[in-house]
Amino acid sequence: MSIKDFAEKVIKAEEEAFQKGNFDLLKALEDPDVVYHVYQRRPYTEIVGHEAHKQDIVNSSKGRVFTKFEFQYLTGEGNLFALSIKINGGNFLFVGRVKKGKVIEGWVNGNTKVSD
Amino acid sequence: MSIKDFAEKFIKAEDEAWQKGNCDALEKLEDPNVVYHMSAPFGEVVGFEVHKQQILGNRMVASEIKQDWKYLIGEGNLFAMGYKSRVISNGKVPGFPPAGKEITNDGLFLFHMKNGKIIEAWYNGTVTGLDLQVYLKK
Repeated sequence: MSIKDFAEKVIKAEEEAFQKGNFDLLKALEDPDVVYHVYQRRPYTEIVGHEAHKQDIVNSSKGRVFTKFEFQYLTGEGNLFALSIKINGGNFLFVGRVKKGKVIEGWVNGNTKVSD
Repeated sequence: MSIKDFAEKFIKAEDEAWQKGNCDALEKLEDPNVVYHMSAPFGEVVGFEVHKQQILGNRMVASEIKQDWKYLIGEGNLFAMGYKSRVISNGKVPGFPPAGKEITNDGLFLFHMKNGKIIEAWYNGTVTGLDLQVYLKK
């Protein structure tokens, strides 16, 4: 599978998780010990493990109406891929690293108040 | 040269450009038609000359420029870096804070190289200190 195809699967998995509360696809694509470096939060936050990521999505989606939800593949090579993420009023850049066919690490930063 | 070594050269070239106004090293690392996809309020920067003029222009309206780059990951022709900056406004640009007040930037860059030069980059992050409604209309 190409890195772009993998990234497209991640996008579908994120949509399922955020919009339907279904984490099966995401679980299949993430290493159990995946680490997400979330720079836009104050203080800087690390989400460690699929279960923690799942809980984070559950908590941030609770009672929320998604007026805008766009994940877009930007580029990828080898085991790295990048996505543009636009959710409601915010937009973010995500860089993911893949190992043995699963996301093992991710970096995200962006702005929760400015949408372009 | 490893992708990390290239990233370190880029950091030095950026420092040289922002601190001394010397963009020679940066010119050697960027494709003439490089495209920077910057999140709001910055927009797209197309071409090395535009990037250079942007840096030189910003040096005219801000002081005490501090930048902190952190190499995060790289493979093949892609590398990502964390970026933080802090400058002091001279108060003369619409949307900038009054003179003496700071503007900060905290973001993530992803760079794409081709033939040993940066051909494309993406940035997203948070800027503080700007009046965005005024700045975006300038």
